[in-house]
Amino acid sequence: MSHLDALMTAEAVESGRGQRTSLLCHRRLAREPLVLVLWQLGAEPFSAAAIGWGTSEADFHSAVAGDPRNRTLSFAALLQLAQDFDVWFEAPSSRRETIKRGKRDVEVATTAPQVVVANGATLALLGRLGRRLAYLPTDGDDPADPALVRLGRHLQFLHNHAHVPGQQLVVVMTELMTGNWATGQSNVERQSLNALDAYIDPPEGMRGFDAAVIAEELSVGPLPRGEDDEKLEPLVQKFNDVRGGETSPAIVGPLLGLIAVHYAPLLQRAWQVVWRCFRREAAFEEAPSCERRWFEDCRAYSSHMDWVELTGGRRRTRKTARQAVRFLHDLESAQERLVSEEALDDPLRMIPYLLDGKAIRGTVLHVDRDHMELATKRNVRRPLVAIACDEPCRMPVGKTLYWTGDPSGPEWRIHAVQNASDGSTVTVKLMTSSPHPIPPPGEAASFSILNTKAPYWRLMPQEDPWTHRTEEEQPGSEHLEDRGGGTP
Amino acid sequence: MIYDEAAVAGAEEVAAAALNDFLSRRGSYGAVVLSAVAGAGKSYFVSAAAHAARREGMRIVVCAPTNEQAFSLVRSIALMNERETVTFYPASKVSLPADIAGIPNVREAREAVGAAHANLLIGTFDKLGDAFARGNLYPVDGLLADESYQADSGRYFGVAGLASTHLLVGDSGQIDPFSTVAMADDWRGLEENPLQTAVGVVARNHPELTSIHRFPITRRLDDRAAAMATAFYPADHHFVPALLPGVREMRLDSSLSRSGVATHLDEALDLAAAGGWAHVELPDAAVLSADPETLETMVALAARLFERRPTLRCERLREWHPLERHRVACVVAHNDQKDLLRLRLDEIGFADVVVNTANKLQGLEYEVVICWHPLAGLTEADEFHADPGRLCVMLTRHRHACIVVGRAGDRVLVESIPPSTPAYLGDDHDPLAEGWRTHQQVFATLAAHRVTV
Amino acid sequence: MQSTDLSERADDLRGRAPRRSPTVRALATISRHTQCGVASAGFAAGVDFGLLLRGTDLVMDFGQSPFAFSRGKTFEAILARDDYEAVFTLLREQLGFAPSDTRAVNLRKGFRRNRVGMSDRAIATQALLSRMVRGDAMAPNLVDGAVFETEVGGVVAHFEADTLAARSGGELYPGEVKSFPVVDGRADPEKLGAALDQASVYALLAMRAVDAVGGDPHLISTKVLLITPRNVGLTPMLSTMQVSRRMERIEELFARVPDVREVGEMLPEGLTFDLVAEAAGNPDGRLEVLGSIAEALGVSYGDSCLADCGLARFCRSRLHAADDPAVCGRAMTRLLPCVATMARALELSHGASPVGREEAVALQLSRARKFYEGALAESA
Repeated sequence: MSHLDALMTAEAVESGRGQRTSLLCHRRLAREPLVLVLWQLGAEPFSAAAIGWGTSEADFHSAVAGDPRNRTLSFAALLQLAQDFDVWFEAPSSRRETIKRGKRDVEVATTAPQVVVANGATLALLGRLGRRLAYLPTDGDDPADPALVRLGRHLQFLHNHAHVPGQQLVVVMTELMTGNWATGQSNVERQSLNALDAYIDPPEGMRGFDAAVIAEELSVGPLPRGEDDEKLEPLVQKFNDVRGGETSPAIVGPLLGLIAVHYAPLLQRAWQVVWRCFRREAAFEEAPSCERRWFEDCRAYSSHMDWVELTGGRRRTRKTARQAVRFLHDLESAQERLVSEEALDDPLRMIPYLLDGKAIRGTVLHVDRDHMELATKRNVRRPLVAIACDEPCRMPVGKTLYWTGDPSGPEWRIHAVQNASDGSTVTVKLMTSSPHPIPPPGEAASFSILNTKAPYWRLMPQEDPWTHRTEEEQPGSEHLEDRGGGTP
Repeated sequence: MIYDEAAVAGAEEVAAAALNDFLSRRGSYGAVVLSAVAGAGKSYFVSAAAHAARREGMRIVVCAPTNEQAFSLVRSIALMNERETVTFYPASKVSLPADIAGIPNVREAREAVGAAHANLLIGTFDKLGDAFARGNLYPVDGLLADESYQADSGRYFGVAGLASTHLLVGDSGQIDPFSTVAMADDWRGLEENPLQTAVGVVARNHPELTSIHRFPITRRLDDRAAAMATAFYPADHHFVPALLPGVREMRLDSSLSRSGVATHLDEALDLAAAGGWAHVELPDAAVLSADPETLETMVALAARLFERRPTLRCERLREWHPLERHRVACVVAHNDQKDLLRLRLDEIGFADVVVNTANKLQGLEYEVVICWHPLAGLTEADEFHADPGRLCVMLTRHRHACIVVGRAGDRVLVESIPPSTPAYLGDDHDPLAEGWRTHQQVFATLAAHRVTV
Repeated sequence: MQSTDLSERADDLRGRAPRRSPTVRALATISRHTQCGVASAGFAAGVDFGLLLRGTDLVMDFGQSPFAFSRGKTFEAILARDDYEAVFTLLREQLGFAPSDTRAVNLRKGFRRNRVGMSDRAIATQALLSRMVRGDAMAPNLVDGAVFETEVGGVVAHFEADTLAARSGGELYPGEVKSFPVVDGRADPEKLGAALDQASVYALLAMRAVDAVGGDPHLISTKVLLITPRNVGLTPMLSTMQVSRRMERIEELFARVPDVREVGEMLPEGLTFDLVAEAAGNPDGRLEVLGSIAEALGVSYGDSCLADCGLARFCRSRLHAADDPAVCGRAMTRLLPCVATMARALELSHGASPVGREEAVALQLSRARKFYEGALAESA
């Protein structure tokens, strides 16, 4: 957090409504995403009691399990989701195009599916559902529908991919909004989409704080309030009594009515607030770098679909040492690139760097294209640009910087600094003699430590070294469904 | 009498045992770990190990996490092994400092082929790992790794295949590997955790092939500093200073020679000169990380120190000699503290005084250190600030004196109950709780050297 | 005699406010709010904050789902089945319990569900512990529902080991049963931390109890057991974790729970939780009293309060009324040290003259505003 956040938060508190902290939206928001709202039963971690989904607000589908503690009933509800989800999710994979990336040709899907959920807890539940469904046996004496297993594998992929900084296949609304709006709320309070939404845009005549206090009383899932489940309990009890152990759709279907009625307003509440928030964010202009990151998302999606095609999509439950090293490295690279891109795309996001003295802005006073310097053996051209800044410069001579007007371009170095109490003149030196864009005199220019060059790709050895090899199979790699105990 | 001969002899025995252990495992899988405290003389040991390995005809690769550490190894190994060609394999934009490159038996390999045939190759984990992965380096007889508690499992993964026999040297008290990505915590306690230390990963996966030798002395730290350093190492790592008390001395001109200078600064400097430690405690207040008052106090301390013309004598130079500016370091926890301190020191003409974060000063040594306490002004501590590794680095860089600048509230903070912490199966470490204890111990040790402002 | 006297003091301090006996959960709650004076005082006086503000707008709802409750019960039933067969299997496989080590005692049955019953269970626990420690051949290997009696803040409290303490001719292992799953070797870190904190309480109390019967406290292992469902179903699995540091922390926590007399002394004359209770009448009046109590004892509102403290909305509302930066979270207070209100922060950002320590923050805020306005202008 920076003092810009502090300032924006103070504005939010004083004005009684949310303050926008970025000019752009830094995630591509699809035209037809799949919004998924889920309600869990009490603390049953691996099933969904009620599910809502659709690719537009009017296109709402839902399913309730009745008693999701029962495997058959739980799967019956999830299957309804799976049938729609799998088709929708897999469709874009069949349309591919070939793109040149550096020296290689890459075949990638022309677009990718985007899932939108209310909050991190919903994403976590999807991850758990994926874990449960992905390893179900599709033959034997109680086979699961293959569509369920496919759903599980797609959910596992999405849950893993969601960790990548800047990714856009899974949009978690609370996260997106927290990044774009300052409200007078703590991190915990911001996990409630309802409360966050209320503070950002309170009803007429109400202050954000008060609107949020009321809104947070209502849950948006996946965990219901105790009192919601207290109302549900007798309904489930009755449902179980009447069906008497039967699980066939013909018998169970007609009995779901009251439970569906119980969940309808809960699903609708979550549904409406997610769409409302999505539309609010989508009204902002998309940041230019979303394009590059979307391409990476499409690549990841295409790889996943290729794997599904090839093997059915089965993966280990835990990463190997090699996979973990690779994944962490990729996450760190993505993170670095993301923060650079966001700050370079959006002047508001650059401000923390200016505050921290990691970026300078000013007006170009003078450009000396012909400045020469002794490199190791000969004199080389090193153009100098002198900038008048209204702040003292905190970075030392020799610090490497990049021009924000050419962030994937060459390095510059601080050549000289003259600090006064109310400003400074900073001279930066281009570290190459080959022609590159240079900010012209009289124009505003910014230099920062941020660049958007392709990150270092860590190459890994072909074989795992002896130090990282272990004798036993990693736990969790026998992927048998665990059905021990407790299912009524 | 300068050295505690018994201690030195004991240390030499441990070193010899570790070395023999390593040499005897030639040709089979094994990792010999030499766990050494700050200032133990690890570089010397690595150089001696390289020497011994080469004498046995072993082809070896030596790696360290950073370029600076690699440069330093090139120098010490080359000087100790004058008849060996020492080959340094840098990343493309890096080259050896001129003074090291100038050593006769040092070569810099610019092409893969030069590196592949070297008998004694030195580089960073990253560079050597990359070269190995590309097939430009072939397995050798031994891998020597410095700062093995700083190298993470991922970096080790890249080079471990270069040899079946490893010698891992490192300081377990300094800063552990970390990541800027929050999700990395999910791997805590699991065997695939990429943020385990190199030592941690091999000891966990192959405990029967890993032997740990604990080096029982420190050369940089004298008795006064070593007493503090025990806070950073496990109770079963017994160590003593090699140097006898009194060998190192620091003198300052009398404080009466100037007026108008705050007495607490002089009091602190006198304490530091006499007892090796001083703790300047500013009044309790909630402040920003780059607090101007703390900043000015550190600047004033540095300025006043030199005003009083400090002179030193020690085991390296028995006559009194002046303290040089570049042998003084200011250590901080945050980059903004570093930037502002650098500016201020430059402003008053102290451009030679070193300023950096603890992360960047791991493994380095100075005569006098002034530190900005990591908890300064915080009303709540988190894992980053409570990290004992950071404190360890700050308090073990100096040969003569260390002055800690902080606020009264810091002590109050760690005297309160530590916050509740999450837990991870397979990982019994609780970094926040352990860090808390360490901070308490450090404040207790500093109590005798405290100056309250 | 002292204890009864203090117990009466606690009753006085609490008055008609709803009661909450000091349980491990209550201890776990205050362990997450160690800087808060009101939280410690409430614990010492045995006040249930979850219910205290009933009848006011600021009451909080921590109602658990009945389904969550039933999952826990179902899992416990699975463990207890066939004389704890599942548990003993795990103990044999992982801790080397002998095949003949299968004696279990259930202290949850056969006692009254009140304070007297708890006290009886504590006595029974003591007796069983004594036998286990002496290596008595017929001593149980498993005690379900052990109760430890101890003094907290001078008042007698009973802690029900929510779970099982096991033994095998050697060490005794305190254990916790939780219904959150361990999936592929991983558990939710917060939940695991909380569970280990609870187990640490039992471990500490068990050590004290063993000591009290003249046994060697080191027989209580500092490695505790955690029994949870494995992966997706309800099959039990056993994990062990070292908790010595957590035990030290809990010990300090116990030591710092204030004596109710101390609390009484810090409160202005006539103020007690009694006047905050629903029976005291007018909600505004009640909240005002609570405000004075908060003023006198000090509070420490932070991000974790809303999750488990019944007074969180009250504290939040109070901070909001005072325009205190703390209402926005701890990170905000770090950025605005010595700035009393958010309105003041705005003033400073507009160039108002800073007073005293405000200077450093004022500079950052006005720079932030300058850059902000510059950025808006640039993109207009």
